[in-house]
Amino acid sequence: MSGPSPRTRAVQQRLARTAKRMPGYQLLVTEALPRVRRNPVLSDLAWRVFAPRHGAGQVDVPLHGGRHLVGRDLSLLPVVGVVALGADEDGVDRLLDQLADLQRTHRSFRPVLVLDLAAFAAVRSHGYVVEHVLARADWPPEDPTGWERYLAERLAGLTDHYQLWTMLDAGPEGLGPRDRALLAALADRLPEDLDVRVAPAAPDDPGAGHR
Amino acid sequence: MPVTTAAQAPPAAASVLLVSSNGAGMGHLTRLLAYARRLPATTRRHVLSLSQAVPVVASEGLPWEYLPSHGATGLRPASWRALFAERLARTLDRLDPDVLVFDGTHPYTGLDAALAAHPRTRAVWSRRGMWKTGRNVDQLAKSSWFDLVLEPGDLAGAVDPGASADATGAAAAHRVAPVTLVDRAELTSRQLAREALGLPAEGPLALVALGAGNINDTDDEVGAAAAALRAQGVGVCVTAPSIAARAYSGADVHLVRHFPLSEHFAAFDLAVAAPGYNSFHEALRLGVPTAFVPNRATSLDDQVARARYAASRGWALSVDTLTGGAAGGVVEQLLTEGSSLAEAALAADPGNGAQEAADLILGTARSAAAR
Repeated sequence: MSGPSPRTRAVQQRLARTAKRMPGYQLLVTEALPRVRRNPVLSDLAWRVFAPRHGAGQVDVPLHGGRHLVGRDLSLLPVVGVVALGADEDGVDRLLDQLADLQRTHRSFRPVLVLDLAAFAAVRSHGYVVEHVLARADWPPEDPTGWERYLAERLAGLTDHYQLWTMLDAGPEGLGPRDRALLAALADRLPEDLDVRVAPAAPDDPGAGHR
Repeated sequence: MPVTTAAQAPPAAASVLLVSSNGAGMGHLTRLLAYARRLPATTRRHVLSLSQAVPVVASEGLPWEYLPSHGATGLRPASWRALFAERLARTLDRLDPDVLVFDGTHPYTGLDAALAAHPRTRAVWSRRGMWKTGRNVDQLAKSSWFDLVLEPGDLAGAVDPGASADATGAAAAHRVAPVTLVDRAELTSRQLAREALGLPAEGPLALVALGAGNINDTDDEVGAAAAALRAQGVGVCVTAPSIAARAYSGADVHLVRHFPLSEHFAAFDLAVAAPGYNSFHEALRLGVPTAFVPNRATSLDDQVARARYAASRGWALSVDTLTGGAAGGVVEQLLTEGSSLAEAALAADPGNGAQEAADLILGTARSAAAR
């Protein structure tokens, strides 16, 4: 996925700054727009006029999707959270290889890894996004329920910010059969004309040679 | 690394949240660690970093958390800012620090909102200078988000061309002496340093710290340096993050991976380095004969000005490039004049500003606790 060029981004930032300085901007953002959003008639009208796209493969979510897929429509691939708490280095490596294989096979998703292990280099070698959460073992024992609450808040935040299509739990052997089947089934829900292809595998690329 | 919550800490213990941007290299994290090391042992210290190198702080006994940078996610800028603001706000709620120290040249939007939502926490901006002329000027206005702007001084500060150098009013910084994590008195001996790094006990060795490059290509700065050093019988040591390690496989070089590497600088007879803030001050303050090769591609850091100033003062060599056959002469000159250059740099050393910075941070933390 390639974002706007630095020049385009600079122009965008300048326009945004100018817009924010315009008289009435704050009133528009804090008062007028929320009222429009809460008005069912105006909301319905907006949906009819602009017909926002929805469904798998329709919503544009810029996010690094890894080195294994290329194509113009990468940013339309659903984003899937993959939670692998308690995994050791070998477990993370196995999971990463499995995800690379599933991506190359189905071309149906982009993962965001959630780990409690500092395995940044391994994840980076696949080009995936990784979030790190504090491990339960590192949480103060005096606050036994705090970690559950912390984890729930983090996962809720990730779901929201990365616009996750679903969140899967990985065990010691990676994703289980049901979740692998889910990612396969997801491919059937994507538009047929999506331009997403398997990246040509370089000899030293992680995941190369799996297919 | 067990996390300490606000409720567990002794009432008198100050608490400090150290926040680093990702940047290039280890500069931001290393500077924060230099402050953290010099805070009283009772201080609760916690690191939140946008750098994937953050686990190194565990070696200092500090708990850490990682927050992916905008570049690491590829999210839309506005989406990432929302993620950043929420993570920071929740971290402030959970840890309730007396003071937040942000090290970076670009305080992210969202930092202000998170601090505003947590008014008990004071804020310090650790902002190094040597900005390129005319760059980053708009960031100075963000000084108002902070209770204190702290500038780790620069040995080349006399020629600082940037907007931060003569900032006034709320944007003016409290400047301390240059900050390094390690002082000369803390260096290990040459023998111990070489043992610790797995280097040969005998023979001259040079540290090449020019970032990722092609070790086998003399059209590349790293490759040119390596070839010239080998030609003079000097062994080549390269710093390499694990992601780049494969680039050096099979090459006749020693990979050095240790944090902080500077504590073992006695292992090296020479250095060829890019003069980023950390490398520049570590080399000069720790007495390593060095040739600086500025990285001109940095967006803000004026490495050219820094390197040329050091050369003008007779502290080090400065060369625009080692390619095109230039490396041989540079290495030769470094071998003959390096020791006297390093001695001149040591003689001009104003000392480490890290302790004064830590004292200022602690003072700011106490003012929050007294609220």
